[in-house]
Amino acid sequence: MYSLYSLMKQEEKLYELSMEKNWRRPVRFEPLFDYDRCSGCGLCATACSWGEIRLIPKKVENGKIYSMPVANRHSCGGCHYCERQCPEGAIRIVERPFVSSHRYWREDQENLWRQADPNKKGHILLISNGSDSEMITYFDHLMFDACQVTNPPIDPLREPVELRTYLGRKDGSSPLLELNVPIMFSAMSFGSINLRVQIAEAKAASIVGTYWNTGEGGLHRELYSYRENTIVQIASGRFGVSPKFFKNCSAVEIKIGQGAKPGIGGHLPGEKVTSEISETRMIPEGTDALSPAPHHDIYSIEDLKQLIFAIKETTGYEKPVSVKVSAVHNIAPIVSGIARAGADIIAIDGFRGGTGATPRRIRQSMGIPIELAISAADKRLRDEGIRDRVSLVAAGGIRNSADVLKAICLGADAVYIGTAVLVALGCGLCQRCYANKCAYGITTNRKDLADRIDVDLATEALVNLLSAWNDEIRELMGGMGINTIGSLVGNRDRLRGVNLTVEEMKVLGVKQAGL
Amino acid sequence: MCGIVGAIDTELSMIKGSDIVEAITLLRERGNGLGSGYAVYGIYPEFKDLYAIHIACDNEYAVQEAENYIKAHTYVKAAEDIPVRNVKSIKWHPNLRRYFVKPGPNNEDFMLKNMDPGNLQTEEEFAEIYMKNFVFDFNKSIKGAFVMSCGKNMGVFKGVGYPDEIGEFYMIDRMEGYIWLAHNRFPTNSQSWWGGAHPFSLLEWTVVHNGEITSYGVNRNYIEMHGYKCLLQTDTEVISYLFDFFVREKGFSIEDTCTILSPPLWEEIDEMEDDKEKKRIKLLRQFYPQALLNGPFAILVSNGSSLIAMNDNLKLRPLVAAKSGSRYYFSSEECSFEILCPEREKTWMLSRNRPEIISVKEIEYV
Ligand code: SF4
Ligand code: SF4
Repeated sequence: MYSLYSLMKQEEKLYELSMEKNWRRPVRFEPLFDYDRCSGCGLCATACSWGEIRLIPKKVENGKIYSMPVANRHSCGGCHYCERQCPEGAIRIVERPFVSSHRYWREDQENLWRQADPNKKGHILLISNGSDSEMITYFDHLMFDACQVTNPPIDPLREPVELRTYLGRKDGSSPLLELNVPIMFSAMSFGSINLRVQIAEAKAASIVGTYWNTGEGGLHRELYSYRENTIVQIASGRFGVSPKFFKNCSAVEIKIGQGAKPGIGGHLPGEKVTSEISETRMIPEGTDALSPAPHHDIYSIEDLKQLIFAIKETTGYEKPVSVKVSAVHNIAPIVSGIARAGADIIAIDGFRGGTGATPRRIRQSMGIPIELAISAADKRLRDEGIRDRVSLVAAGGIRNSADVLKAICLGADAVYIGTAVLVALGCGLCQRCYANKCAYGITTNRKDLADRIDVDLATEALVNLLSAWNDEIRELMGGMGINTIGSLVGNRDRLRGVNLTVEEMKVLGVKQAGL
Repeated sequence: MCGIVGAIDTELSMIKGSDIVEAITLLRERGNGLGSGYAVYGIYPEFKDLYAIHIACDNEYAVQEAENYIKAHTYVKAAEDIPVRNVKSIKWHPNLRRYFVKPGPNNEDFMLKNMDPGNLQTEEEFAEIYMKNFVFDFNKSIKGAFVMSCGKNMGVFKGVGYPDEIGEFYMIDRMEGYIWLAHNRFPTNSQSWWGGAHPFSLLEWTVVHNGEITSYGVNRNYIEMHGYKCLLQTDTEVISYLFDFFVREKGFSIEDTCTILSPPLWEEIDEMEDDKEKKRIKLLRQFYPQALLNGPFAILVSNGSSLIAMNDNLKLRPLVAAKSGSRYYFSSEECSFEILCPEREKTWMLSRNRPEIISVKEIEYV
């Protein structure tokens, strides 16, 4: 039990904190406790890594002090961890109502308060995850076709429906990646997520027969044994690029851009650079890991071509080379240029793609939706007659199996999922991964928190996720009367648009529903 | 649901058109009178080196325009109306004409002048590319007219009606050929017009098809990427283009092409024992997934020297075969064989992704 003294001390400190320059941050989420149910076990206070819950002495009985949790009302982000942990079900996370006048949304107002906070220097607002803006999600406006009468639907329980996909340049110049499901784990670096999560990803990928991506943080030696299912990523920081890195992978990805932060680099704060990370990234411990916005050896397409071939030479033409770009306005010619520069796979990351940390303004207002980007890129490559030279991978904003299939119908050969992986592991989408405090232990390197991830359970969760999506995709395909996924790549005939403008449907290449 | 019938004589002896009409008419239940057609090889022996262009035009104006177009782009050796009989139930029919032509406008030396000397094309290859583009441009630019077929020593006769009516109309009973394809249509996914009836043809290739191609969007994207144009508002035409593309343009064997279009399942490929065969099929399937035909189908394809019968890889449409001497017959239903070959050596059901490829003995003009 907690001593009264320590609790009072805690109380004092918080009071001081709140009185500092008299500037209270707006409260959006807070835990509400049902004291009838609460047994006072205190689990939630430790569970919340954000310091939102403290215990205060409520009653004294038989010389013992009984404490009860209360909310500090300054740091809850609504991740729901405490709520899910409470054995008595006594916690409810509530979002406080917010009434705003004029055209200022809650976000706008809160952000202004935050930026003006006299207790801090005015700073760029950081945020994590993909864009949560209210902008239209095209996936939700696309409907699949189904077989009726003239051709039979296929019953995936009786007939084979095949999802096997091959990625790479299909002319024999380099090997192809074989995917049993057209879904890969998107790039999330060691540092932004911890090693336990990466191990779970690698294990799940090898069990299912797909690939996971290291992200830009290098490849930890414990992951060498999953080389058959690993895509290593090289970004502008060149972290951890070494002979072993090239040896222990199936493909190499050059990251030019990322959907959540097109045009800017990465920043892993020094306090996150632990000894393990410093070893993997090959940088001194405790220093900030900065990846610059551009690659300092890529200032135009011909430089990219040289890098692609430098990698191919290094790996003896035994590993396909992928290039990842953000979905931007000019995506079609960019993709065509990359295809001509010799890339085997091109991954396009839409503006809803997640990240560990990005300036809020960039996340909310740069880039374009993946649906439009993939469709435009696929069309351009076909118009130029070079679509079979490269494989396209769609990323950023794939939330479920129908999104996977819609992205494929719009022209992708396969997809990357990132945020969906985190959510499958518990993530409550509180958008604060940059803070190194993730209560679920996903995007944190603090040992006590990272230990909350059980690698075996996490692996099982990811395998389950992929096999569930696999089954759902097979059902959808069966309904469409299609028994191999290749017959859907770019098959916009199987999609119809609902509630879209003529221009939007033109870019997506789909017809209005009913036509 | 549609009915298809095919016949080939490997010794090149002639098969009577009347038998074919009767055999496909037997499958009347499989159609609804909205389209039937016949393709026959070996009907123009006197013009065997010329491309026989069959066109259908909606009106006199279109005929004139089509004729001008053909004359402007090819060297016409002979031209005539396709002879037809009056059939009561066919209330309207387009103007049907046929032209026997060489490529190149009004000039027999056209080819030599226009062939790219740096290119290793033979005259034949050049002519075929020229004619292919001619057909696409014709279909695109002449309103109300389309090319039914344009191969050598072959022709397509098709229209809106039951097979017996269309047979009667074109006087199929008077024709003879060493390869026949016939079709009886029950259209479901496209409107009924004369251009939408089967067989579909491009150069020597003709296709009749029972089924629906659910991968049409992908196949069309793929073939259009390689310079073909899908203008006939129906899924079947891509099959003829795919065959033309792989066999003529890419130089693949017919076996390989069939594997690309209807390959075995991955499971089956993984379990194959013959390593060479496994590698071949795996490569074809890895490299050309966009050319794979999905959905239920039974198709008969011919290029004048072979007849190919093929099913989708789940076998969702019927197709049976029979052999009698040098003749092979294919049909949606076995009953047709009672007319075509009552005394046959063998009758068998085609199994999925085991295409039958029957070739004629060597002929000098294919
Ligand atoms: S665990 Fe999450 S939801 Fe619960 S109080 Fe802490 S920040 Fe809020
Ligand atoms: S992963 Fe990020 S968004 Fe998800 S719960 Fe952890 S800190 Fe929040």
